[in-house]
Amino acid sequence: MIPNPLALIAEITYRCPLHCVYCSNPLDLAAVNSELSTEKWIDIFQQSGKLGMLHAHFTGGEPLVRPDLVELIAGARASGLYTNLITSGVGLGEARLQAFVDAGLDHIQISFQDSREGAANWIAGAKAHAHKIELSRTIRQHKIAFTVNLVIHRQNIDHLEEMIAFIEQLAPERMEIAHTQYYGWA
Amino acid sequence: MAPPEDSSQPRLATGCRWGGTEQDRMVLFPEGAIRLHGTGLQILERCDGQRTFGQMIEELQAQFSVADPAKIRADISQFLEQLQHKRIVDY
Repeated sequence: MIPNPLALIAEITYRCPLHCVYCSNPLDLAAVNSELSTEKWIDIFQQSGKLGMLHAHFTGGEPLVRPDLVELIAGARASGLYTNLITSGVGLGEARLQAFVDAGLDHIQISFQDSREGAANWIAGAKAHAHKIELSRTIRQHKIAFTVNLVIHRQNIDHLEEMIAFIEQLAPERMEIAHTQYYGWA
Repeated sequence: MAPPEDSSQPRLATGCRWGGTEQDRMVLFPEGAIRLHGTGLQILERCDGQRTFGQMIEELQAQFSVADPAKIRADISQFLEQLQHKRIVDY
């Protein structure tokens, strides 16, 4: 008997508004009409729950681009799964975060590209850094788990301690340090 | 990290919650889960943020009256301290 898997990684989209230099997200798979429907995902969550799976991780691409994300979170939660949203945070305001929390979101993970705004925005190809800091403050007002994911590579690894100190003052419960996958350069 | 005091009110940490089934009780948290049964389950079920650590000890000493009360206290204290270290319980 093979034991059942415990975590479902739900890549609900490959669309993403950012252009992080290090990203290995398969943009050539990003056609909207190839994404699974809300109903299909809910069915997958129900099957996962019945299998005894425990966690659902919403990722992509950028999961926020799915307008049905709140239904997906509710559907996963209803199937008994602990829900985690892995996101850049770009496009996530207070009201939408509140809707996710109300739908049963257990955990949110926000990526940060650097401690320094200029460098962070350059890597992401978007002026996202200040918004992420603001979003981190909003997240702390809710009773959900908060992880910051720091992406490191040779453009920022020389000031790793500074970045860790920066993340500590955002007060997440957890920090993940992710080194980039080596597609071309790191 | 310090052990709980009698007046502490242990509770599940932020982002941790009960899951699993009636037969298979679990506490779920970021990137993990623990399965609870036996005395671990008895202890964690009492971490409701209302009961004090002192009350919890009294209840469990009464329930497990054949065991040495001092050992019950020491075991529960150590269990909660370990869970706090893992960010599963706060007190």
